[in-house]
Amino acid sequence: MKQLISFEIKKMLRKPLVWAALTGLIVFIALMEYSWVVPGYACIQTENDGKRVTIEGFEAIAINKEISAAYCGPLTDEKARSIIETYDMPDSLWESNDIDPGREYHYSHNLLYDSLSANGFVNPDGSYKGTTVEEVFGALAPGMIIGYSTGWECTINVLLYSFLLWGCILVVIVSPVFSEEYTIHMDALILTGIHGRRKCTLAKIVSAFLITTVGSALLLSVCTLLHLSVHGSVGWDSSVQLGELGYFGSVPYQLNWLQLYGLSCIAWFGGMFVLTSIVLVVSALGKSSFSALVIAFVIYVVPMFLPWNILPESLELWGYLLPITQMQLLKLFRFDLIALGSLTFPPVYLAIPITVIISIAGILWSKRGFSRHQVV
Amino acid sequence: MELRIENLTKQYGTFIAINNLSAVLTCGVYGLLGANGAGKTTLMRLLCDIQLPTAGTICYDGENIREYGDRYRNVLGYLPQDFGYYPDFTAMKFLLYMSAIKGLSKSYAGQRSLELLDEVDLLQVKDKKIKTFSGGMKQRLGIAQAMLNDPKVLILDEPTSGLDPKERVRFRNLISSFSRNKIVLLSTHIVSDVEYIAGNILVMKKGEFIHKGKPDEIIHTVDGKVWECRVADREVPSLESRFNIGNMRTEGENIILRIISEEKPLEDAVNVTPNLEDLYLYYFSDEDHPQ
Repeated sequence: MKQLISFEIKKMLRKPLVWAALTGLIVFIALMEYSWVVPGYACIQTENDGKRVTIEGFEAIAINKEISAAYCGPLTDEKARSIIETYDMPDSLWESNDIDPGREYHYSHNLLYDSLSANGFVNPDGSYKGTTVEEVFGALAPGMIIGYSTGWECTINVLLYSFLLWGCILVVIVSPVFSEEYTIHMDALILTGIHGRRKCTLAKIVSAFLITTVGSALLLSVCTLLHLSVHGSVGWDSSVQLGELGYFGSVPYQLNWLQLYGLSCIAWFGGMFVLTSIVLVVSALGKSSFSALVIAFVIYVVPMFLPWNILPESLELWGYLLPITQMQLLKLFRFDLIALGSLTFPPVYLAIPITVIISIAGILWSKRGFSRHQVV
Repeated sequence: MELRIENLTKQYGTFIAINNLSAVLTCGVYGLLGANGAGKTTLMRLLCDIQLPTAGTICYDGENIREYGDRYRNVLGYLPQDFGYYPDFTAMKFLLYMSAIKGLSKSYAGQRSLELLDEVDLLQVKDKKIKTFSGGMKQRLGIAQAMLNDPKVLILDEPTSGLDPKERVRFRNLISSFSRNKIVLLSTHIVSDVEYIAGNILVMKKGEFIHKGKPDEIIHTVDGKVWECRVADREVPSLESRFNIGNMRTEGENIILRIISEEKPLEDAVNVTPNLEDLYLYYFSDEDHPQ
């Protein structure tokens, strides 16, 4: 069995198209990491002897961490006021640097100022609006924790796009698993071998899931290690609603970055396993490797463009639990906690039973599809 | 050892590819002769249990191959028509892969693959990628993979089509050398393939066996129907339109024609001893030409 799995993995990976796609993924991740995380867009604008000074890169990250350390912990009205008043820049400075104060929100002061600015604590001219934490966050206000979040937010963003692309590449890798045998007429040889219908078919399925698991784990590990090496783990307990970019500003329950990271892993891995299962079924039932590739790709990508929001909320949620919409995270995290008796949990947990059910169904269906396939 | 086909039928929609075939195959080489579309490939797929019959059974040593299951696959070697290879695999790796599918142990698979590569004269290129191989080399690799498990039933579907004459002779000799103590079924529409190596011939037309037997017995069925005559060059077109013409050769000013006809085609036509090619022309002249 081990030998068959090894052969099947080699067959899947030793294709110019796969290597080109993997190279593309690596370049994409490198560019994303450079733009977002290492050191990313980290930028602080401050005043020095009446001049606007811009600090970028690793130095900005270090200063942001220092500033965050001074304020980290529960977000209070006093902290909000202090941050905004301390780090707001006077109009005179913008004028002397020929910058329109009305567009101040386009320019970075520092992470914490930007977080509060994104959450509506700041007037258009950059000054404190007087809004309280409770007015902004309502019932969530008592649990809001401020801290250094840029690294987490950017890393999750990079991972999100990388997983979406990795899904496309997985379609390219997995869709020929069975269908290519039909195309090159190797199905006849495989199915006349003593292990053709059972072990070889199973080896193909195991190989596909191994590639999915190892590839996803590698992607996650590389991005996480880069994040930890550049930004450290600091800020893991701060609230996702206080992210500098505001991507997760509308999460309607308490969630910190580490929890979001964990839930995102469920969504990404679940999405990848469901995708692998679907592609295996398409491959086993497809007539040729090209048709299997096209059909699998359409099944993967099209749900991203469907207007799920026109459906009632209960149905809309299921639309966001399809592999690609689930891995996009953002819309899935806008749904409130699901209550099941006395138990409440984030909707992303639904991905676990869905993944288990679809994976089992996919394995059985694709196995049956190939082993009972009539050679033509 | 026997492979028994009983009332075998395969239907695709309304098209009957195999029509109520029955035959018993024992040790020896069987040539399955028929035009394209006669049902040869379908029959072979049914014999390999990779297609389900609409009706009828195939039994190996008295047991239905559907019930024999994997044990039947253990005694089966198959070389399909036009099968692809993994172009980036080397010959050796391909055989090792097929060995794994056929359930051979890793150590035996390595030894057996080298033996077979030697026998099919591919040992020197065992580490070369299959995409660099000629058609003949690929077919030799194909027969090597079919022989990996030392099968008792060897099914070869048009193994020599597309090969040049030299490769064809080489391939035929290989089949002969592998055929001892086996049931070998070789399908072809190339008459010379079966003429030299098949001890028995099954002639297939429109999904049915129209003749079964030893080559000499089958050839006798066209006794008295093969004629040779000497004609002028200008007469050939008119004769071609009226008769089923076999060989044509020029001798001086005249042409010697071999005509397959129930009746004497010309006054001076002489009845000659038929061969397998004549038999093919007799039965398949309306379908395609022999090679």
